[in-house]
Amino acid sequence: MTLAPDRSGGSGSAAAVEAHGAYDGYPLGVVTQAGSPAYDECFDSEGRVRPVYRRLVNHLASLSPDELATKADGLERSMRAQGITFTVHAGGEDSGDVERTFPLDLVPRLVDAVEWERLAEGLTQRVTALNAFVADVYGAREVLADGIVPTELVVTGKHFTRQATGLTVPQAIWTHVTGPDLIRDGDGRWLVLEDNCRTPSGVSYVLENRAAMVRGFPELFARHRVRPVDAYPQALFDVLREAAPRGDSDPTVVLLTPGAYNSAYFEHTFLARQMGIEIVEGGDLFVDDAVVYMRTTRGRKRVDVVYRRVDDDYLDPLAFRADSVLGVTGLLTAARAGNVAIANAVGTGIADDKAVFAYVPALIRYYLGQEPVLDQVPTYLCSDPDQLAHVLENLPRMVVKAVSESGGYGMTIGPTASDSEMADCRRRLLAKPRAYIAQETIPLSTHPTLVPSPVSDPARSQAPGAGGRAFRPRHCDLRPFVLMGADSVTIVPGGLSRVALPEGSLVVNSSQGGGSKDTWVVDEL
Amino acid sequence: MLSRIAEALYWTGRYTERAEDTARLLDVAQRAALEGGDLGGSETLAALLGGYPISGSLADVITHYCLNRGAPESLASCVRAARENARTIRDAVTSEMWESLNTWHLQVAATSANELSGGGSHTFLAAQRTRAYLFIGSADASLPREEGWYWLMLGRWLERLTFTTRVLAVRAPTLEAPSDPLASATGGSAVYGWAVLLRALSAYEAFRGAHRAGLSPERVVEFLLLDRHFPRSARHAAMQVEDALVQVADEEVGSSARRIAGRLRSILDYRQVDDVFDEGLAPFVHRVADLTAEVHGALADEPFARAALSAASFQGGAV
Repeated sequence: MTLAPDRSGGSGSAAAVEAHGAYDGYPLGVVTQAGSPAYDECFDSEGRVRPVYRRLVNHLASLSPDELATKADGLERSMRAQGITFTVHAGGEDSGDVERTFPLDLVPRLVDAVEWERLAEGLTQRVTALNAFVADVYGAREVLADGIVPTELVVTGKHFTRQATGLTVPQAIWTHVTGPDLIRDGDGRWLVLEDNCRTPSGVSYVLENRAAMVRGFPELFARHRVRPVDAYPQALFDVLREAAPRGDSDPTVVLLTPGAYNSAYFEHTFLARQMGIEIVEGGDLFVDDAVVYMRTTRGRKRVDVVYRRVDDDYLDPLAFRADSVLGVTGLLTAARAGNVAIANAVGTGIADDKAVFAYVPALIRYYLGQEPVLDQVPTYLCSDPDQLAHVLENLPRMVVKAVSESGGYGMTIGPTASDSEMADCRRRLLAKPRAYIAQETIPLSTHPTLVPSPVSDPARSQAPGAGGRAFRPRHCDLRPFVLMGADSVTIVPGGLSRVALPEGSLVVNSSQGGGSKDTWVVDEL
Repeated sequence: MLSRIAEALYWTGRYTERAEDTARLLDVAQRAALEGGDLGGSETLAALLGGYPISGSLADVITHYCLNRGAPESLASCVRAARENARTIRDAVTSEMWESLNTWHLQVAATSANELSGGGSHTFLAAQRTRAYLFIGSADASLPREEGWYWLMLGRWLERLTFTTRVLAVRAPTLEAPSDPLASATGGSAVYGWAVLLRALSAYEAFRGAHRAGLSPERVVEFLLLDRHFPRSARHAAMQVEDALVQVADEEVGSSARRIAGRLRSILDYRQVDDVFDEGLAPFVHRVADLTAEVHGALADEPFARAALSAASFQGGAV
């Protein structure tokens, strides 16, 4: 199917937009594994350019193949030269770990400012409720007493952290930084897929992608009012500073990293540098009489706030895994004594529990007395007999996830599973229903992305293409970054758009062939 | 500055200097062998560079010290160690420094033994010195003269002091012997043995400039040990070590390292070459080497806070 010219508008030249150039042959209504067509963010099902994208499509379609190639190469070079990489673990002494770049696609993703405001409102509401939930679970437990969420479901959750029970945290803020994953369904409706209340990463790409795009496409920025993202490090620092337990106006804040071999180490150094704070490893800190210090060449220096990028499990060998060498012995004792703030606080993983996820709309109503602004991916608790029956009936279109696993482990994807996998899944569901949840498979939205144009593509023979490259739909998601301060919630406009580069792929992870896009929240000119 | 970062900068300085010293020494050893002399065989090379003596042809020995990544004394290992130290503190080194180290490491890692055959080893060794200069030049041009710079310099000068002292210590017995085997192997020309020694420390031209009268054991020892201005003499290196320590240490932390470095410098400051030979060259050089090692040992205890690791971190109490 080829692209139809835009007939939607009636205002002279704007209505006459003809998408061509590298857009030629752009297929519409890509059908995913879920069996239903995906929503394309740039073109409607008739091939008309959606309003927010008109200037962008006009401009990109006007670029010659050489110009596009030059810009794409420029972006690639700029990312590589700055060493914006993540580490893929190989193994073996000399094979070494591989440092890869996270490719930045040159087509930005646009979100209309009005739509963004609604998203931001929904995210603010959600994180506020989740923070209240975490505080409640480790404190008064009213939400359990009131029967909103079953007590057993919470306390048997893998990420329920009994060590956090009775802990009080400065300003009652537990989830300082969250990075929820949002997707759009076949109707273009935004849905929350995960809340990520522990240590979400990726914000450095948001900032670096923007810097690269401004250099590569100054003319596009001149034609759009794009909300800036560069306030993030300062906003993060403000949130961390406010978290200081002693109300010190100039507290010592450090970023705790697992070290140079962590895949997100680049981001850790980037954020520490941007905030002007020390980046430390577990061995740099020690606890003496429930006070945290760092070892410096001038002796010990007291630490007030630890922005940790180390998981709970590895944070303090006294409280969690005793074999951890990444953590700080006694750190939790210091937090308990009110001598240090840990951001995010320990125990926030309970808000990421896949079964708790099903209750988030109820939590919003319970804590805030409001209806949820944002929808979420429909989630069924297999522990509930009625819901289990529904899941079993509709298994071929469900994604079944083990409650205790993350990162795609223990997952069965109905539409692509083999018969034996389905039978196995059914057996496990019946044997241990409480260990699973099921979600509807959602056809992730697609977005034009510059890819090497396939030789077999018939459109290719007629269209000049872009030096062997063409715009093709690729699936993507969005991870905004939400900062929760004492008085307000700050969300950097946009966030990290991850895109699955192989055709038809729904896997956006950087380690598995994912790329990223700069995300622009645009106000009308 | 975090102790860990200070220590990583210190080791980056040491390993890059060691790589440069190793490259120069191997080049000189190779040239001496080609001209019919030698530095005393693989025993001597092992004494100078570390590790066990390597058997085999000179080419095998050179290949081992250049490329054997399983051997910590090899140039490849030094470059890799320097790069790994810098990698863990990417935020504390400049991108110019990182890029020069990274390129250096990648280049050495991509070099095969074949490339060292024929004239290849000289080309390779010359390139290693250039790489070392690029690294130190990039640091000089981009790293602020703050604490980190002085830790890097401390490592560099301490390594250089160690190397110069070790060369003298290894050569001292032959220097004092009535007939130098290196000299006799080249037809009895004592001058040749001294020239090799000076070249191993990049000192030949500078020595010539300072002493036009010619080579004599006293003058060479005086130059390599006690010259105030030559950048590879023990005295000059000791002065630089003390200067760097003055910048990074204060009355409390690092004061013992500073005290030892001061003693070391003053020993070299107030000696005349006759005093050295009266005391005995070997005992004197060993005394310098011992004090150099003591400076290093004192750093580990205090500024690098290694001892504090086990003591303090278990005082947290139970949850």
